[in-house]
Amino acid sequence: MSDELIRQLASILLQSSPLIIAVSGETITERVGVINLSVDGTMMMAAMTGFVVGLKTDSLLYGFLAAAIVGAIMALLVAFGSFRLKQNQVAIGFVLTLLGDDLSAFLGQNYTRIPGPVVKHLPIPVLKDIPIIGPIFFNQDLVVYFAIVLIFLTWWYLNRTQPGLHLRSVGERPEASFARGINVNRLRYIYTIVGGGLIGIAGAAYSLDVKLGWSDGHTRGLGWIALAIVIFGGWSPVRGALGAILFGATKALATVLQRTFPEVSVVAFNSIPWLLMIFVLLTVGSEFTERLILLMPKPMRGPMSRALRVSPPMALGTTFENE
Amino acid sequence: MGEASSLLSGTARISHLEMKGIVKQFPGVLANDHVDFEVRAGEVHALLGENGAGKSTLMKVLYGMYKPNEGEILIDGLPAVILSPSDAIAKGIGMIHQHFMLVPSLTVAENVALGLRSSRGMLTDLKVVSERVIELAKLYGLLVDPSAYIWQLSVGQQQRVEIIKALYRGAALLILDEPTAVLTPQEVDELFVTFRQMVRDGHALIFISHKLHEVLNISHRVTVLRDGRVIGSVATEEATKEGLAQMMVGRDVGLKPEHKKVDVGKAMLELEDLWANSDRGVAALQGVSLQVRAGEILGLAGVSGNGQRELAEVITGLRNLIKGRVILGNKDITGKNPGEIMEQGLSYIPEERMRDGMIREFNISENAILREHHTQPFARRGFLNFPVITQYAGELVKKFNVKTPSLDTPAKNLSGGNIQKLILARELSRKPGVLIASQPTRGLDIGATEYIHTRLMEQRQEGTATLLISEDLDEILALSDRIAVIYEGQIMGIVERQNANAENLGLLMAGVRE
Ligand SMILES: Nc1ncnc2c1ncn2[C@@H]1O[C@H](COP(=O)(O)OP(=O)(O)OP(=O)(O)O)[C@@H](O)[C@H]1O
Ligand SMILES: [Mg+2]
Repeated sequence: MSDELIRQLASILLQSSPLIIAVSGETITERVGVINLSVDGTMMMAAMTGFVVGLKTDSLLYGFLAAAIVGAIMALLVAFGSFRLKQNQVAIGFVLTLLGDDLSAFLGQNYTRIPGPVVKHLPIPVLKDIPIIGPIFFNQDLVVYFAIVLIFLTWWYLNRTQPGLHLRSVGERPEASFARGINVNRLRYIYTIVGGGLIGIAGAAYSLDVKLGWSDGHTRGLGWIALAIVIFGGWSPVRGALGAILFGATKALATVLQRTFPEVSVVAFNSIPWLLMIFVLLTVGSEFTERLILLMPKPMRGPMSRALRVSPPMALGTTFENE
Repeated sequence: MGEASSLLSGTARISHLEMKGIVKQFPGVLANDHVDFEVRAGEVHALLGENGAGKSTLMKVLYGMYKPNEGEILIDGLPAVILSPSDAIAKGIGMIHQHFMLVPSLTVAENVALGLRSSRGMLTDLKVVSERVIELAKLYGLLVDPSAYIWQLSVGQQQRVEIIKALYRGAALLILDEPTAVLTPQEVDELFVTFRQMVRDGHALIFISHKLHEVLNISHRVTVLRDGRVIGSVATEEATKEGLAQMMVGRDVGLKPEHKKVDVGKAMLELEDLWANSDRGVAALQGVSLQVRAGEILGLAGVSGNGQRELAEVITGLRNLIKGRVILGNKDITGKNPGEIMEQGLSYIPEERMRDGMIREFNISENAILREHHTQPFARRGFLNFPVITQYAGELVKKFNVKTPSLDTPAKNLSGGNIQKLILARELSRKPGVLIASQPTRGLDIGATEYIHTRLMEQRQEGTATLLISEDLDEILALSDRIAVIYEGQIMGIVERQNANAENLGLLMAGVRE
């Protein structure tokens, strides 16, 4: 493999890492049955807070910590507004999105376009020397390593642990979980907050690493992409991560194409990833995929249909209350 | 059975539990009106009452699922605070729910493991759970595959899971809300052996059923509820079927419908060599051929999970055929979609009525016209005609005696039996040429069962061809002209009404050909 390609792949992985983190967070939230629609606003608030706190304290750790707390608070607002105040989850999330956008612009206005702390490159000895894999996966920084570990950790937690089993059951059929002695709303609070914390970390991963610094609307649109990828990933952390990487890859491809065909408008290339997203959202789980699956050779159909079919957590977006 | 008891222990003991003056008010319904109820260790206390009498509500109050408006619960004389199922569980109370509390997208083992402490700490211990599920299943004659997903199971199999879940966890006091509604007589017998053993071991059981012979068989005491109030309690020794029925309904009930002679007409439904797979991808129907003629009821007997569900789904277009033909009237309907088939004059009472028969959030009126919402007189030029719909729904509710506070009540708030009645009312009122009825009286009280049986007989006299799929042999024997027995996706034999009895059908159901 050429060095150029390897460098491209490594860069795609880096670029995708914040999205992977946000997608993991939102996947956890939605698997427990809650829609936190505020991702876009939350990421901007967290990106700004993370940057400012990092700058003031000169500590990356405090920057990320502050971002996680901001994310957790926004998520708590969604949960509280929905469970306690009985407001519509989607509406609260939407309002918080708008709020996060404006508030981050206002609070961060004195910190735009100035240099701040940067997450340091951290190659892993020995592993980084493995051909191909080494330079792509192990010649990165902590944000990337965290994202990769998070993919598997989330998968493992959901599918292999007892609390993960409870988490999934609450998102599917809360009354059955309740009847088994599980405290539905407590789990929903906990995982919505944890998910929000991860979304916050994703925001800071932009301002402190992948898209350095702060400016008005610094990560605008990326939260919506994360939300779409969760659906694209069929609420699976591993498939969601692949979706995030695919999105990163198309963005990189767009950049390359743009360099190759400078006469074509920039806008055309920039829209490629979005078009791909729309296409994927329209086709996944539709009749089209069903047909596609039927066209495949028999032994492929089972795994393919498991990979392409999506079904949301049955209780997604509903609230639970005992009478 | 010594081994069995050891599996059931391990929780707190309750020697006497008392519910005092329980009041539970729902919008428009007083479901429990100052109810007193008690149960002691070492007895089975049966709770009887018509559909909507308030039995499930009372039990959900005891299990912490509902908060009562008034009243208190005493355990061994001391007030007990039960605000949620986890409180109830901690006090040693377990419950088998009428509407199964199962997560469809999880496996049997995962459902059983839910809410339990894992033996591997943080990690799930599904292997251990699976092994014990198999062990319990063998012990109690409730066979299920722990690795199957709930959505792949028939209602009968789901019932077994619901029971195993409760037995697995163990309880000093076990509430059984219609646990036998979908089980075969053999399964009920085996279950009763377990219950008796539990009673001998000092457990307390509360048993709800609409089948009076079961109540007389297993219980020590019977309490009857009507309209949310206690009508009376009797010792089972002194009770009779007729007496209990009288207490429940407030009038005499004829327990057997009359089977008049009807001239059979031409074949209305012909099934030719049907092959189909189950949701799990294994062969569920293996060459089923049957004919149902106008004016006849063909009973399909068999143990749950032997292809009954798949057969009904194949006929109604809900499941794909691998091979074979379905002919309705004289039209080939193989491969047509459900909507087209229904328009050809087929009515269907699905087995999973909660899932396939109605929309939980829709109100009574909307559910009443679910099939014909797009046709005259309910819709005109694309708009729903609400006065007509309301009037029609009102008539159905009255005729079938559906108990509901209003026609605007969402279907999910009805009692189990009343939801059934609503769907039956809708399907039977369409005057179908062919009727597929899966377990039509499951969960219905005696009065309602009697009424449905009478209606099925009337339809038969009017020339409807009925395929009656039921695991209740009494029902099959009472209604059918001919009885086909299905076993592992094949028809074991067809027995004429006059030659049929519980013994020869039972053998065929077990896969034994004479
Ligand atoms: N969650 C609820 N919301 C509103 N009304 C309810 C609710 N649950 C039950 N009811 C009403 O309370 C009454 C008693 O219902 P319940 O389920 O206790 O009856 P049941 O005796 O168990 O009947 P069945 O034999 O049909 O199961 C019914 O009229 C029902 O409509
Ligand atoms: Mg009930």
